[in-house]
Amino acid sequence: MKAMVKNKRFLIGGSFIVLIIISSLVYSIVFDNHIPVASITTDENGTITGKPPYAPWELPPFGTDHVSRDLFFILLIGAKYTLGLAFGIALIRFVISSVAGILLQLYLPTFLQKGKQWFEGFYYFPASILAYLSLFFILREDGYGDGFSTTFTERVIFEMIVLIVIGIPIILINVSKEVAILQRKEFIDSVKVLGGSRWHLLKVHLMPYLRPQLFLLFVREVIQVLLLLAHLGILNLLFGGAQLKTDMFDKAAYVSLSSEWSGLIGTNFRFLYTSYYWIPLVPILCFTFAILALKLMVEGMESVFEKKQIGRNRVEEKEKRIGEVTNKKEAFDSL
Amino acid sequence: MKKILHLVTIALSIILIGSLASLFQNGMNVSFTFFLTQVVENVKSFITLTQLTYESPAGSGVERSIFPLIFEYYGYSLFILLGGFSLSLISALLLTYLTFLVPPSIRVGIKKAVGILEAIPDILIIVIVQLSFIAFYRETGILLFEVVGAFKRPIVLPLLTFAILPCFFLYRMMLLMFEDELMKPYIELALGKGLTRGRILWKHVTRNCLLSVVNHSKAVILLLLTNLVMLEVIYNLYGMTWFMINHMTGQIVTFGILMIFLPLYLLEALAKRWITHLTGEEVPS
Repeated sequence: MKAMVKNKRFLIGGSFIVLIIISSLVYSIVFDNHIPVASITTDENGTITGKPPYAPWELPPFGTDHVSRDLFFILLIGAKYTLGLAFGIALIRFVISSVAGILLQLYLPTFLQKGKQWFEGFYYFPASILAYLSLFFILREDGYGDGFSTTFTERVIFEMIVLIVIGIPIILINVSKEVAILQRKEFIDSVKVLGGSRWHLLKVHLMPYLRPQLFLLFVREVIQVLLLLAHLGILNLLFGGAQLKTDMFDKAAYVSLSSEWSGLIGTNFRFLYTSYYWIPLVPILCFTFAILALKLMVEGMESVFEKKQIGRNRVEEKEKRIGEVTNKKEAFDSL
Repeated sequence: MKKILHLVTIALSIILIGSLASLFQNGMNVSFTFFLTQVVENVKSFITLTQLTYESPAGSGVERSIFPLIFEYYGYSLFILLGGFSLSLISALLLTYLTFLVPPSIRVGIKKAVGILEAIPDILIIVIVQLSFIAFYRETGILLFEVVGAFKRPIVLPLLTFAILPCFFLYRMMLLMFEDELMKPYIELALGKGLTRGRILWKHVTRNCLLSVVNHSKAVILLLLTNLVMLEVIYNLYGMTWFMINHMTGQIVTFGILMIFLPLYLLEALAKRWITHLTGEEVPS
């Protein structure tokens, strides 16, 4: 852990994410989620020099949306929901599947080998389509007529469960693969010969190696969930369903129930081909920055592990270094 | 025989996943019997290819068979998928060769940069490409490629946009693999025998690196498919995933995924066999 904090890339990415979440929380506590509204600007003579919606270069940093609310504050308020959701969903996904993956690989490896095939369908089922298929009828179609037949909390819980469940199989396979690689190490054989139980093996000998790998998988999973949320936003599936409201032209428009980022993309995507294209572009950019920050963390962690690995091998045996590089290849499997 | 069994297993698992996901078509009242009938119904209709219908126009309640219309959508999607993949593979290879011409100090920087670039969300790339083409058109009045989607089915721009992200991914993978590969003792032997650097890279290293691409075929396929969904939705391209999204029923989605899965699986199997033939190394499934 110490080595990771010293790593520049990990530090930059991590502090960026922490900074966003903290400032979003502070803003909601201190200013009670107040969104400033930009007004028409005039010069001394009272002639109008600019009117909303302002572009990002007229009202930095992000400009305003079509009802002249300041986009920066909307996104700041939404950050805690989006990032919180992503971390929450990824964490639950991850805990369930890593516990199941480790135990299955240790106690029922043959069962896992057989059962693996039945999970392979998930590699051909894009997560966005799978999530859309399971959520569409509850979160969209149900609300077409006279509103939803379910309450908002029900829908949120339902969506959380769906988003958690569809991610589990692939992580489970990845975790079990990670364990299988460790099981091939020589010291595992000595543990077995000396009579260590499987639980002892896991607790004392596997966990020190697994812990950093699992943390890496977790951060990758957060990236995946963020991407999935952004995709669902493009597909206009708003978190917890949407309310049908009328916009300024008295046209029907879906309104996200919070200023959650994916909802902002979904509701504003129609502005992309107008001259107000920044309204959907800004949340997409925010997603991008969050994902890139997380990716920086991943890269930083990977380089730390690699250095550790090489250092360890130098002490043990120099020639084995080339063989250890296979660990790098595993990095792609989880994507 | 083993391959066919494997194929059937995956196909069945896709049907199971699809049926499970479409349990909520009638609201939240979920029952196991409904799930079983749905699975049986799906399998039956996929084998006999009947009862596969979609509503057209949407909301009218008129059901039409998806054949033969679906093949137009299907062909276009497959074209984008395979064309985009080959484009990205070729450009990634070229980029890798170019990278190995520059001094190692720059190469480290490139490697770090690509590691980050690889993580850019597909939607940002798609949106940016589209916006910049529209801006270019507005400024100069020259329409480089067809931008609009729908029944016109443009070719060049979707292919280019589609290839960008897989290209980064493959490029990064190849950079790592090439470096590992170049450290191996046989390279030294080849150099000692007097083979040129270019020849070693092209003949021996590339061959062994393609092995690792095939090795990670699952990750590549998943990346390609998610990329395709977003491309078709944002560009409004009338392809298979667009059809699924806009005619959402469990049956159509499951059938669509199955149709996309079949050629991909066959290609994967072929590639594995070819690589084994080429390098003599067995690809673990």
